[in-house]
Amino acid sequence: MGWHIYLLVMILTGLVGQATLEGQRVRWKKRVHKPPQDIQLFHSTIVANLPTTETLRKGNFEFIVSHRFIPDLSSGFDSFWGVDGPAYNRLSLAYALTHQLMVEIGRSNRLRNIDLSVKSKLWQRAHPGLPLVMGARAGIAFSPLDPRAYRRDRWDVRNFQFFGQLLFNTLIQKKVGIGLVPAYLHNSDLLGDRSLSSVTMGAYLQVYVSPSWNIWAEAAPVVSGYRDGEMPFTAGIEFETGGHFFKIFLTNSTRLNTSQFLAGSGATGWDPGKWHLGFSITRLLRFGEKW
Amino acid sequence: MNSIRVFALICLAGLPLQAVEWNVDTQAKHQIKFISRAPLEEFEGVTDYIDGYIYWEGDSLFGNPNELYFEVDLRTLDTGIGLRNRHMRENYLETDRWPMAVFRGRVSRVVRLDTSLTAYQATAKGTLSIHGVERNITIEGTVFFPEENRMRIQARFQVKLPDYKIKIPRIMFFKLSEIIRLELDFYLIKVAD
Repeated sequence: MGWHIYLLVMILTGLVGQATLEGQRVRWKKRVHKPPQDIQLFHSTIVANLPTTETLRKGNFEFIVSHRFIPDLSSGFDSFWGVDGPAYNRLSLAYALTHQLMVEIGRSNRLRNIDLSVKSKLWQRAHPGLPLVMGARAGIAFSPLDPRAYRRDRWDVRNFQFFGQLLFNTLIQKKVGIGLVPAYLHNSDLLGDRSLSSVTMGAYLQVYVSPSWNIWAEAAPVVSGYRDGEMPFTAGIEFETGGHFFKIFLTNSTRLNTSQFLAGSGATGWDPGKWHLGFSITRLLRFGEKW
Repeated sequence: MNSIRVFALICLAGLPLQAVEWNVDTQAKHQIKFISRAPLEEFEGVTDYIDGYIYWEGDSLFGNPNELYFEVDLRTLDTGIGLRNRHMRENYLETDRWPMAVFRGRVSRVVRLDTSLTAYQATAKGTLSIHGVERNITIEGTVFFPEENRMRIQARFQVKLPDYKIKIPRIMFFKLSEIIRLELDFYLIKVAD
């Protein structure tokens, strides 16, 4: 009898020991992890001319080709409402140093203007009804004008312009994106003899009809300082295909670079026949991945 | 004498075999990628957030019993476009409810690939849980040992979005393919005895 009790005790001891080992055998502990809370309100980094607070993912490039056709809509079918050209264009390349900081260089064939800018997200507030993101963009522009035509040295200080923009974005009901872009432009009258400046209150509205297309409009009225023509106004449609954005729009301004459109559209009056067709294509690029 | 034999057997039964455990290296640069094709172009999402372990008993590689557990934080997937990330998280993967993709299983087959004992072809069988749906899956992968206490796993497989009750996203007017290709490349380190 004693032998059986002894055996039973030993078996139970063994089973309990085994069960304990099974329960504790894996030493892996789940990592405490909090995913990054970067608020993303707009699809693209730019509407037509005005920037959004959106930045690229770290290490990504963004290449943008933009056109504004110089012949206006009144040119009619014979010049395909301006699409036959000629056109002002802008080529730009941006690179993200971090998820929240990007640099960009762009050139327009209008006055050979080249600009270099940095853009950063500065502050963000997550809220189910009214998320807010604030950012800033600052840059320098240079127009190497032909000395024979403009009677100034190519590197004359008057060929340089400086600009700064504050960016405020929100997205209502996950459908309606709103942006305000107060801006300051130094030496806004590039071709004038005096150094003037302009203060602009840019604004835009973007309505996301679906994740892949939206309609939008933007305006950049000069509220103080030098102004050349009417307020720039642009409205259009944007498609996203995965790595590309296509924007097609109508505008009263053929100016593409920041230091140019912040001073005004150059247009006189609001005659619809004097508007222009334009488009831009954005390509996101990634290099150097392992796969 | 008999009681001594029984005692010894019981003691041996209670002793576990040599246990080996590898954990995902939290310091390494991993790459977990999904690739989705559409008629116009393909897009992809990437994250480096993977965690989990491999455990086995015995002297041989992935000896029996063995156990795999890996989880990928879907909230960290990055498609390169901010708002698209949000749409993906909120409208398709619903990461508020199901933040992790989880694989649980075991290695069912290991074949040495070369004579250097540093590369193996492995087959894992188990369940993959995404979007609150758990399904059986078999995954083929390659296991490397670039260093003594370091393991690298590469695997490629496909999942069908409808299997996991995930809506198929549209890009412009075209639906993405219902098949998503997954590519994993990650590192584990051996847990000290």
